[in-house]
Amino acid sequence: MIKLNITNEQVKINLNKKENVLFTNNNVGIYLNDNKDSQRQFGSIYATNYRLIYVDNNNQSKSFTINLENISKTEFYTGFLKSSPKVTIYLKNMVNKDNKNDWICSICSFLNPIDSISCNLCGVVKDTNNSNRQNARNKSQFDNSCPKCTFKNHPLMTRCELCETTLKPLQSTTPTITPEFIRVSFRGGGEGQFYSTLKLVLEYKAWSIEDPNDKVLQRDQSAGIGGILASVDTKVQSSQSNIVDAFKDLQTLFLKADEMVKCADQLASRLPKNKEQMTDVEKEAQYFLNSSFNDINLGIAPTATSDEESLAFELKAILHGDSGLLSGNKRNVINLDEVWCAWNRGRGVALLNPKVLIDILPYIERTTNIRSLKLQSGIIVLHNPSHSLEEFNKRLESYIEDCRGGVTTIEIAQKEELPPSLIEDFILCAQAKFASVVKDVSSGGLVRYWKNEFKDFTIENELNDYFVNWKL
Amino acid sequence: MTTIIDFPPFYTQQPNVETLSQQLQLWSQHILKVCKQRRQFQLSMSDDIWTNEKIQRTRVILLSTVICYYLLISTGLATYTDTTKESVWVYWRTLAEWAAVLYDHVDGTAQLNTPLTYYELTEGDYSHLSELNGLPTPILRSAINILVKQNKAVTIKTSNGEGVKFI
Repeated sequence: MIKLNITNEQVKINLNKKENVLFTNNNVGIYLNDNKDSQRQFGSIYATNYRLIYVDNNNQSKSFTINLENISKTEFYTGFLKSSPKVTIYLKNMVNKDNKNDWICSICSFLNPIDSISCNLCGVVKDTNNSNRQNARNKSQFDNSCPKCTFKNHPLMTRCELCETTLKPLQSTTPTITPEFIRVSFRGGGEGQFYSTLKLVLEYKAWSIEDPNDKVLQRDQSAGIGGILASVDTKVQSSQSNIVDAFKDLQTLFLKADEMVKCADQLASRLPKNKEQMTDVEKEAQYFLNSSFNDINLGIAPTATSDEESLAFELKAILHGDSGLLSGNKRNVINLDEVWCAWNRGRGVALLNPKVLIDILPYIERTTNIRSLKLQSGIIVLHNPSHSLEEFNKRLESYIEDCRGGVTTIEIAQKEELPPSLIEDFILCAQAKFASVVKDVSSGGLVRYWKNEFKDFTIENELNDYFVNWKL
Repeated sequence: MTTIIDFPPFYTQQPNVETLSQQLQLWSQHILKVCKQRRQFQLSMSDDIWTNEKIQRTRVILLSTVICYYLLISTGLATYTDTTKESVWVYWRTLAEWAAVLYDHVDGTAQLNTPLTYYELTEGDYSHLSELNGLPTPILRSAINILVKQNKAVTIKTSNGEGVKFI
């Protein structure tokens, strides 16, 4: 029995994490052993899955709690005439008498019962000093040592004699009353339910049932590499489950959106087509329908068309419009991926397949001066006439002419204002087509381009005939 | 005009097929010329012929492999010395030419119908009279095989090495 100082309102706060109140009754009295406890005659009893809590309604300092694991057995008394029904709760004796009185042999450290004079194992006579020492050890448990300076204070001190730190009230100082049994007298009924609940909880030992989540938490707290790994594991698991949940949500959202669109379509079909025949209510409905379409960004969908010509028109606007990707002097070469992204951004939710874009390219080439070019790496780019392979090759030759010592990729990239990787791709294409430029990798790995002079060199050799008809 | 060996792109494998073809021909001609000048029969992939310190072009391992494989071997002007393919015999004279040189030499030194060892042919006293001096045995053996097919020579197996008799 441990004293508590709580009121009925504070019971909930006092509960542990896993503790649930299973039963309450607010009109009970307490008997300690066979005697009525005069100070605890009007209170509430709470039965949780861990303990019993008695809260006195008049004097909160008289409240106490009993851990269920300390209960050895219970009895039920139905009541007779004026005496109320009672539940008797027998308490386990918390101090193990046997242990206290056993003595340990100083020679072989065998644990002997109190009544043996010599050691049962080795026959050495019981050392009288031994028991003194044990007393001293028991005493030390009640020592009031300071948590800061470790000075051993007198048990009655509340502040440390040396450093004035407030001392922790020791377990032993909280007054525990240990009657053999207590009786709970139910003056307002409800004893049957209380007894059956208590029986059930005691039978299943509810306090000892571990929550599987508890174990995870404990693993989290474990130290070292194992702990870190475990925490990483749990984090990954939780984020994974979050993602899965998110995708599920998204899917349901899509379904809902589909339903909404269908629903809106149905509504629209029900409304009369002719505006003049509409009643005010119907007009309002039509307006609401249109505005909500716009609100959820589906307004673009009806305007987005799918036939080739209008698609090409859209694409032309993106490439050559006022702020088009290839208009002005901004850029002359653009990656097809980028075009596709820009186009789809403009289209909102009515996304296009990349294949559609590729299919439309011939039409664009017929109607504008934009041309597409598939580079050696497989990348397709769109370019203005100034950046056709012929024009590029001419410029490349002139750069080399100016340099007289081989020109690097970076230099060309700077002059062309294009990324070096794209330039490399362009040069590869130009080389394959015109063969007027040759590549040179120096020992340091730097790439230079030179004018193709291989044709101009000859080596006099009598075996040259062997190579005359040689081709790769 | 500078020579091809001072033209830096000469040391990089060209991406254009046509240019590459020209480049490989130039390389092959260059190699044969240099080997003949040096009387060098064996050419490894790390030979100094592949590099030009003057213009700092030294990383041509890939190119040298390509040249040896595609050009010299496909035109019969080189064969691999072993299965590791790390060096080749360069035939700056073709095997047929070597066979002719061999026969002329033996005939010229009045050694027809005389059993001769391979050592005598390439390192013997008379070898200095012809280009045969220092000729590696595998090339010599191939040349003799040509003569054997033409019924101009007979190989002789002895306990202490190989021999040949020219007819």
